[in-house]
Formats: sequence, C-alpha cells, structure tokens
Amino acid sequence: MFLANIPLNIDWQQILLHLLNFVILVGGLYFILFNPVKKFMDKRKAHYEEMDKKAVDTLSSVKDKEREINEKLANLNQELENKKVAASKEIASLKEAQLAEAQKQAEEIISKATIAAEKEKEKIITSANKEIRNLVSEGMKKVMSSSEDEAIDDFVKTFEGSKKDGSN
Amino acid sequence: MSKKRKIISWSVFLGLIVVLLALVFVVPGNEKTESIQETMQDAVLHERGLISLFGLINVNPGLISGFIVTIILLVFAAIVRIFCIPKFKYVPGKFQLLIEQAVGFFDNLAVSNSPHHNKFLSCYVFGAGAYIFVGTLFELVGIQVVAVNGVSMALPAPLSDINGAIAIGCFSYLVIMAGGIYANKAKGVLLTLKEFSLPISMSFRLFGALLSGLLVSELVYYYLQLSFILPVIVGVLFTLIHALVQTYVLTMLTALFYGEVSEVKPKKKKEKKVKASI
Repeated sequence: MFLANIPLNIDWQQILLHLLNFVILVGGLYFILFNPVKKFMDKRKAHYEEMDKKAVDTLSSVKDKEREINEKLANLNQELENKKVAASKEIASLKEAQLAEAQKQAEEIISKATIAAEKEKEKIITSANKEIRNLVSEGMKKVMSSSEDEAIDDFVKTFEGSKKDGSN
Repeated sequence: MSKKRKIISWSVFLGLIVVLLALVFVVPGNEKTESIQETMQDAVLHERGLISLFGLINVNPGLISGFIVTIILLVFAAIVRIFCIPKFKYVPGKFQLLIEQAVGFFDNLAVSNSPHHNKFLSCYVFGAGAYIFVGTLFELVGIQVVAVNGVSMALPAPLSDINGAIAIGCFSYLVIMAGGIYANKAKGVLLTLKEFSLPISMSFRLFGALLSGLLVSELVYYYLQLSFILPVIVGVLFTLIHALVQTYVLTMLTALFYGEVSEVKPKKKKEKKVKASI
C-alpha cells in the first residue's frame, strides 16, 4: 500500500528497470572499454618508467665510470710525477758518479804524471851527474896527460862551455 | 554579378521569407489538444505519454531512452574494443587521445578524491559519467516514438525521468556505502548514514537540472513565435552545458563522499584518566 501510492509518478518497477539498465551499462563499460584502456595506459606508464629508470641507471654508471677514469688519470699523473722525480734523482746520482769517476781518473792521471815527471827529473839529474862525472874524469885525464896550466885552462874553458850549454 | 542583379536576388530572397512568415500566421493550424499547463505537467510526470515496453508493461519514455543510450554506449565500446584498442600506440593519435582522456579524467577524479580505495570507484564514475553525458545529449537527437495513447513524441533524456534520477542517485549512495563498509566495516555504514539526505539530494539535483532544460524546451516549442533561433540557444547550448555540468557534479560528489567514508582513520588510544589528588 505504501509503495503503491507515491506521488510524482514514482514507480518502483521502473526504478529497478533503470537500475538494471545502469548496472549493465557500468559493468559492460568497465569490461569492454575502461579496463582495457586503463591496462594499456598502465602498461605505457610502466614502459616509460622503465625507460626513465634505465636512463637514470645509465647516467649513474656513466658518472661512476667518469669518476673511475678521473681517478685513474690522477693516479697516472701521480705515477708520472714520481717517475720523473726518480729519473731526475737517478740522473743526478749518475752525474755524481761520473763526476767522481772523472775526478778519480784525473787524480790518477795527475799522480801518474807526477810520478813520470819525478822519474824524468831523477833521470835527468842522474844523466847530468853522469855527464858531470864524465867531464870531471875527462878533465882529470887531460890534466894528467898535459901540463898543469894548460890542463887547468882547458878544464876551465871546458867547464864554462858546459855551464853555458846547461843554462841555455 | 552586377549590382542590380544582386539587389534583385536579395529582394526576392527577403520577400520570400516575409511571405512565408505571413502565411504561417495567417493560415489556421490545428487547434492545440492540450494547454501549456497540461504539456508541462506531462513533461514532468509522464502520466499520459507512456510507451509500451515490448507489450509487457507501459513505461515512461525516459526508460526507453535509457535502454537506447545503454545500447549505443555498449556498441560504441565494443567497436572501440575490437577495432581500436588493439591498434593503440604509445604515442596516441587524436581518437586514442580522446578515449584516454575520458578514462584518465574519471580515473584521476577517483584517485584524487579517494586515495585509499578507488579501483571500483573509478569504474563506477566512468560508467555514470558516460551515461549522464551521453544521456543528456541524447535528447538533442529527438528520436520519435508513438505513445500508447497514439501521440507521437520525441524521446527525452533518460534522467529527466524521475525514476531514472532516483535510480542513479540511490545507486550512487549505495556505492558510497559499499565503499564505507569495505574500508571501515560497520563504522562505514554509520559514516554513510550520517549523510542521510545524500540520495535524495543527488536524485533530485539530477532530476531538477535535466527537467528544467526539458521544461524550457517544451515552453519554447509550445509557442510558435518562440520557435525561431531561440531553440538553438535553449535547446543545444543549454543541453551541452547541462551534460557537462551534471556529469561533473554527480561524479565529483560520488567520488568526494566515497573518499570521505572509505578513509581509514587511525584508532585513537584511550587516555587513562588520572585522578588528580587534591
């Protein structure tokens, strides 16, 4: 009775028919249109998110590699610097060694020359002594063989002549 | 074309219009079978213009409109599903963009208003939005049917029938309540019942908005003098605005209340009352 006498031509049967129609429409649209389109949009979103993630990963790996390369470059520079220092040290030590060797050789040459000069000096002195001895003995012989004055004059003349030669 | 010939052409054209207008008012037409009051009352109540549903029962023309709109939408959806969706591309074309915009709009509406539970809501608001929008525009087509009393009439918008508006309003309320129960169990029912006026306001807002458009159209078409140019504004523009506004209002309200009742609130810990010693 209550349901039958509703104003404004409200009809429960027609409301239910409208409801049925609407439920069919909502369900149908969901399965036929909304869900497939939404799935496609989600798939595309996931695809672009994946692309974005890959790009970020690639960027970070590139940055890592760049950092690694920079580190290697820095290490290489350091190594090069160390090697330069070592090489310069080695060169300096070699230079010193060569200098010492040259010094030693020079000293040896000088000492050898000194010895040779000494020997030459002794030799000269010896030969001079020998010559003097010969001159003296020759003079004595002449003295002994000729007169005493002549012998003395000859001796003096010979001695002076030899003295002049020695000074020249 | 010479100036003289141009003047003659324009004169003939305007003269023809004046003569036809004069004839329209001079020649007597059929007498109106019903007064403006009766026409308006019938537009609201549909007490006389009933249509036979497969010979089983007599129903309001709005229900027939509802069935036709549902068929149109489902056929369109099936065509899109079969022929268009398999060809969808990551960079969309114009039609794909339109479909994606429609789906994305209602999905975003659901997600932004109900961040916790929105899968069913987005599907519901999409269906409701499509039904209200296409249903409102449907009255522009003006499909002619013959009522059981033999009068020919144009099918109105499905929601200008009060039964259709009540169905949508109450179903939206039930959907909101279902969301509340799903998220908050018994508390959800209480939260929904708090808004007890919602089904009535939703139903009659839809009904009133669409009926007002219908009544204005009926009024305009009732008087011959108002039948020139004016129907373009009141018929087409008002209907387009109605379609957009009502679609947005109902889906927005449903999403808003759904989000409110389905929000899971953290339980408040009862603070132990400490008796203050005096």
